[in-house]
Amino acid sequence: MLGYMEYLQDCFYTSTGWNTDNNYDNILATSRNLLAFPIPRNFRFELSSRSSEFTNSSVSLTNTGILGGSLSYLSTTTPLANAMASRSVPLQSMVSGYRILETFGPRLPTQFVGATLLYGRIYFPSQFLEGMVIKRVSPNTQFILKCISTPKVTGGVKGGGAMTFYWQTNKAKSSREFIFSTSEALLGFRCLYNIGKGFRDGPSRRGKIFGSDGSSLSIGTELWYGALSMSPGLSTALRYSTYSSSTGAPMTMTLSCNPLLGSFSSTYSVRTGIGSTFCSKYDLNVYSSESDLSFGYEFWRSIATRPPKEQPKLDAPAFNKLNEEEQMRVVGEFIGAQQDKFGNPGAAWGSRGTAPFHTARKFVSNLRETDFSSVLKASTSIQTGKLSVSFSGKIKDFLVTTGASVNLYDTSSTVKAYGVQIQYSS
Amino acid sequence: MSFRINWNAIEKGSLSSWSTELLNDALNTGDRPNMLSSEIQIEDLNFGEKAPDFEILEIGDLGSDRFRGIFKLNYNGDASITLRTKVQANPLRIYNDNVIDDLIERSNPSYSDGVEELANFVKPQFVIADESFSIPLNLTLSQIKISTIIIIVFTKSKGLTLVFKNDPLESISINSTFDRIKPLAQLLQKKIEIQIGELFKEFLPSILYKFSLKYTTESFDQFHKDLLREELDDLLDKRVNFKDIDPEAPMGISPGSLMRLTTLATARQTLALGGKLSADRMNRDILTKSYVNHIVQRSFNRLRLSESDFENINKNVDVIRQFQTKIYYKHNGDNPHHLLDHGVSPKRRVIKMKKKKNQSKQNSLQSESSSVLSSPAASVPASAMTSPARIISRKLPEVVHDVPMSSEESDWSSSTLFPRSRKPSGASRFISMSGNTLQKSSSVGPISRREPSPPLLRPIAASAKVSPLLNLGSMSSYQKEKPLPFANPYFDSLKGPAMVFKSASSSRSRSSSTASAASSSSTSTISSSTNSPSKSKMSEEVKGTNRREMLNLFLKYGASDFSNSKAAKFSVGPTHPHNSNGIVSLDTPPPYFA
Amino acid sequence: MSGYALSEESKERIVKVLDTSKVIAHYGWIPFILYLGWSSTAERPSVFNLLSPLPSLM
Repeated sequence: MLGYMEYLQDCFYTSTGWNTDNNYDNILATSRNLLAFPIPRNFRFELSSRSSEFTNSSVSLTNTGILGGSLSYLSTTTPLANAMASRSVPLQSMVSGYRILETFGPRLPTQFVGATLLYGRIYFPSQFLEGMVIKRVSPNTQFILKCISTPKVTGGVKGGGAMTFYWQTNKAKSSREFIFSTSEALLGFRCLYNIGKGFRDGPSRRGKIFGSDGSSLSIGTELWYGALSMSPGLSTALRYSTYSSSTGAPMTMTLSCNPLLGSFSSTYSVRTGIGSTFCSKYDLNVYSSESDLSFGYEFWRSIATRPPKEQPKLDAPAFNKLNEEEQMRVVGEFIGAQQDKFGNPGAAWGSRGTAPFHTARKFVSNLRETDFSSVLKASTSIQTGKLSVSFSGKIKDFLVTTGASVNLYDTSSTVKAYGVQIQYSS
Repeated sequence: MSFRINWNAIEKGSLSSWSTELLNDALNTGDRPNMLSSEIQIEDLNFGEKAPDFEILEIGDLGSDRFRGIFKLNYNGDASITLRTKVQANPLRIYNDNVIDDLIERSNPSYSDGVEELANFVKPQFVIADESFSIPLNLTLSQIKISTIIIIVFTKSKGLTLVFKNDPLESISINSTFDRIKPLAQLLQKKIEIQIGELFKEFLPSILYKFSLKYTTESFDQFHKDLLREELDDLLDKRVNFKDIDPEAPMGISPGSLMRLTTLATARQTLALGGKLSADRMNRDILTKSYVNHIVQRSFNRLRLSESDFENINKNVDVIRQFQTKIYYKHNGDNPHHLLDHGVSPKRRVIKMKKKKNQSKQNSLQSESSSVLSSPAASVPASAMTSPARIISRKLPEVVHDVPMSSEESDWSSSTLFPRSRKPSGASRFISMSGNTLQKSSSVGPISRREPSPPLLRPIAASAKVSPLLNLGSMSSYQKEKPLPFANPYFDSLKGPAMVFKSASSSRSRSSSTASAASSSSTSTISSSTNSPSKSKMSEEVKGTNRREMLNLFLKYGASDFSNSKAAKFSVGPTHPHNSNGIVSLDTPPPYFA
Repeated sequence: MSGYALSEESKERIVKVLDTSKVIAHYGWIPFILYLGWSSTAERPSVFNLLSPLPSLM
């Protein structure tokens, strides 16, 4: 489960119209969410509140043998209207699972230029500091600075720190990212290209990363070079996302490889139903001939579908104030309206839009409107024998996550990691 | 001065495996470098055929507990070592770990747990560029050239310090899996040379230092104990059997000497009741009891006792008793009625015994068996303690050799039977025998064990003011309260050879503890002394003799010694194998024979 | 070359200044965030509300 501050960061991206799916960083996000989901490692209680639309604060207590905690503050220059309290927040936005690709790229209106997010967290008793600045430099450019600092303590401790800069450009057709980290002077470059006819950069209102039938194909690569340690790194990946023609269930296939190390991995994830997702991953190293097969599964339990809400007016500021789901619904209805108008289903998605995509659209809107109460995740791998289980759910107004991971082959060791995380925000 | 060390012998020994183990441990202690993804294992360790040149340049200080010397070491041999490990081949993976390590290094070490979270926040999220990829690496180090001057300083308190004057390593040849990749091989060569330099400069001295501390801090007491134990074990193993000496005729030794040997051997044994008698404590089948009996019957049939013997004894003992009592009261001027009232009546004795039993918490059998001896003591009031019964003197001479040979009947000397103790100290030198045993020995004869007061023992019990040492469990506490006067006029007058089956007690408390141990569980004491292969030399001392012999002895000396001596004294008590400094004595007033 | 080299004293001074600025950044960061958040909000929430992560009882 995301921490409150991470959730707010997502909210910031959404409300400023920054599509994180169009980033090489997230090209394997679906399989990562299903196979390598984080397991809480301790007891953690987080209490968060919004003092205003611009400022948020959070305090957390952790217990890892010694009692620790952190105090964090986040402020933005644009109001985060879509951030919700733990009582009403949809579980999908707190627990990252199968990622249904955003149907739009970064919005170009210049109203978000200059939007800034400032974040700081100080840990106790260690007094470690985390800081982050996100600033939208231009309609499709964003700058991120992340830094950490450990204090100087009398007694020979120098105190350390590191900074990482990101310069991201996000367009409908492509995205680019330059990274520099002060630790070992690491330089990085990442890029992602969307292949297909439907993508246009330019002055259109909305860049789309979907093909004509709702499918999308993206290819990207990352290059790294540690200037001080002379350590290179490289990987490339391909993502194909589409919808089942019969059920409309979304599915994502990826193929990634690291040519330096000769490792290839392919994943296949499918949202088999409203409440369940299955993912498999096959790894192969061509140099060492080592291979591995991993499986992941998540099951979402729903309470009930939300009653349809009154359709809000479609002027831009009002639209922007809506949260992600409502925006999606509005867009979907807009598309549906277009379809009705021209008798050409999925017109907005391309001239060759067909009935299968209509079912897919219905599936997605159905999914987004469903109110889930809990989610259970499990993943295992044949080679390593590691089994991870995690449960997240809403209990009253609290968000609770618990999980454990064990090694099935190593019978001598007991549970490797387990923990409970409780969140409350208002 | 020169030493010759056979270099080739080193390999044959366990040195190779030992040093492999040591190196394995040493290489894998501490934090593993991020570059390695598995432990370092030593595949092969070869010391080579060529020996190093080792030259003593100077010995500055030499003592039993310190040493300082300067040596020169030259090595240009064919020793080699092969290591196996796995190397992380993905530099970005190493980068990830380095970020964390760097933070840990530069922040407060007590909060290193939280560092990971922090590092995850700041480091860029690699997609799959940071995948783990380990490559197995075999590394062979050979053609090691070493030339150095070593300074070794050793003191007992500070351990061993080793210093290299210069960089010891001159050159080394490194072969690895990556030999074909030239830049990598060169890098490895360079890194390993640096590492080995460090190993010599820091690691080796520190290991040696720790190793030496382990030995110098160990107490010397413990060391000696260990040594002694080893020695004893060796001794026990090296036993010679008759069969080994002359397998043709195991009984080739003359019966007389065999008997003496047997006596000696049996003297080493404790009075294990009902146990098999054999010449050998470890190997019971060498000389069996029946065999001994056979010899005894053949050679010393005069010693055999018949029923009639015991009848005579009863009479004699009765006479002795009368004499003893008379003389005792004469000498002490005590009220004879007092003792008669308390001491002689068997009925009263029984009652007292019960009281005793409650006090001393003995088990019934033991108290029953010891009651015969202890009850008079129990009945003796504290005021009467200033009696000859207290002749448990430290001043007692080592009487064994003064014990006269039995004049008419004895064929064998008492000194054979009770060989002098090898230890001159306060260890028990003589027969150690509990009252229990005495009673049991009497049961060999016509005296039944069930009889409440065996006729043999009654006179002693009746006439003796039994030492308060026999006051069983309560004895030690009593002694603490009221030390016994050891000077005794009566004892001083005792000049004749006395039959003293006891040793001088070096300290009163010790004797009392022995006494309590002896009296509280006579049987168990004996058996324990038999069962425990005592590490001390005590085991080789006389612990007693067999019942029959004991009885014989008693009778003999009762007849002979008593007749020509002024006093006879019986010190009866088992020798505890671990606390053999004192012996309980059952002292009798001197019986005067007409 | 030696002309460009900084004297030991100035080097030390620079190190000191850097250290101090790091400490200021370390402990000043969160107040800075709070100030920005406070100044950008039209209603100007009370300092307690701003600081307290506990749910406000408004």
